[in-house]
Amino acid sequence: MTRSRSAASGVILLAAVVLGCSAAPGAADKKELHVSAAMSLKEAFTDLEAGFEAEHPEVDVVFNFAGSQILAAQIVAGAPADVFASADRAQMERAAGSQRMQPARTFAKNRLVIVTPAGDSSIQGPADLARPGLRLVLAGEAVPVGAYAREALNRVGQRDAALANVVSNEENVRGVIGKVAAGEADAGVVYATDVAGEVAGKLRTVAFAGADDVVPAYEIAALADSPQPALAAAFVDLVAGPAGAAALGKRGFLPP
Amino acid sequence: MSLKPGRPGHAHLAVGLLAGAAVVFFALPLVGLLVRVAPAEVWRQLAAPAVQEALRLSLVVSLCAAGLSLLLGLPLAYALARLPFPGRGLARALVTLPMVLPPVVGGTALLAAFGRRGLLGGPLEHGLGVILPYTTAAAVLAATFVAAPFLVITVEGALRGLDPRREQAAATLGASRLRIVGTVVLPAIRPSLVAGLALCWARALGEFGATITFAGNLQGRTQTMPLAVYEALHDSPDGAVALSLLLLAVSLALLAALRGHFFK
Repeated sequence: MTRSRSAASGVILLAAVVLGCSAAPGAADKKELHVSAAMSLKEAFTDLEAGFEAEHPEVDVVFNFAGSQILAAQIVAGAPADVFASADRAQMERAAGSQRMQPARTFAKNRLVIVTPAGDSSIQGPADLARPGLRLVLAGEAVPVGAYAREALNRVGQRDAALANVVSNEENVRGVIGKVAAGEADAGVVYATDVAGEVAGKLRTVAFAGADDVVPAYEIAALADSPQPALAAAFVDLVAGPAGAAALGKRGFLPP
Repeated sequence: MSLKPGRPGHAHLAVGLLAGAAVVFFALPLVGLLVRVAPAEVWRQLAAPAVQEALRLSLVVSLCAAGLSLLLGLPLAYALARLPFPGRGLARALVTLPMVLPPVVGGTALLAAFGRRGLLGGPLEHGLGVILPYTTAAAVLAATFVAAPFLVITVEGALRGLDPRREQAAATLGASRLRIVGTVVLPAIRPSLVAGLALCWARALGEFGATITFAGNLQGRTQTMPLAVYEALHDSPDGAVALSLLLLAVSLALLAALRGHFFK
């Protein structure tokens, strides 16, 4: 009797653990708004979180920061999300191919820069990225910053020579930053806004001259199948509105 | 340990249900992989140049890692099992550590040692002109770091289980130490050596975390199969499934080959 009862309570306990783990801890009474956003938006979007939650006290904003290509793949695969902010049009269009996206709008722009470890002074511009033996780290070609970097290298006529120097393709822009800051790579191509915070002291920034018309542009859209369309639209409006512009400007992003 | 013979009902039912749930839990993902992509599509994906290159690189890296593990691991296993030296317990713990260490921590540690600003990496670069991170050699080192312990621990266990009187007998007959190892010890532990080597190779083939951390991700140089699966997941999900099926087939073949050693 006791034995079977404890076995049964074991099953119940297990079920409770499984259910408990799948529920969000500590926010049972709040609605979650899932925002999938490009890695480079991390600080700016996190800055916007408190204001949005103050305006919508019943909401807990949950961010999913990653390379836009990963987020787009998740959306195509059916992952639950309310808002998607992509670092390029290609990944927004890929996500839209799932028929899950509302029309997108451009809400910010950025600038490409070359980074080197802080002590270096040998790299003066994009032509130096083609120097034989240089250890260059880029983001992968599906990653927005990796695609922009390849386009910009193409613009200055150094694409093939520079790509021959690539030692690793990272899955998001922060992977490039990390490898250059650690001194494992001689150079990388990132967004100007990523050279910030603690890591900035370990990096030297060089302008990517000659590719001014390669302008990274961010797009945002709510998901059409969001279970809370009004909140999703409110978040998109916040980002694309004056408060969003201020927060993004403070972190170095350019207006759309 | 007395389950009353008359009343097995509820307890057995609960155990049966949980065990069944466990089997479903392990089987379902594999079934998912199998039904996800049509066989013809699998073949088409496996013929893609990036996949072929990842496959070739994975074979090279995992075989080199297994070879390096054998070269360093066999003497180490022998020392741990047979030679009493101070700090032997510590040495054994150190060697076992990568088996439980998160591989990404292993990769970070390898960078701290062999990275350009690491303990040995600086002297290596400035003295010999050798830069390890982001090379195929780095992928081999990463795989060896996480995989060699499987060989060492398996072989050491077999050596400890070996009756030392056989070696003593050979010694009284005048055989040298090397000859004893070659003619008495190695043949006696051969099954364990093969099993340890196979486990080591399989672990090296599956290595991801230490590799992407220490060796980076570059097609043809450091992008082994697991890294290719991960990248394909975001670019071409069908390719990821095809690659996963290939790795699954290799793992199943390995299990079948080792049947009888660990599993009945």
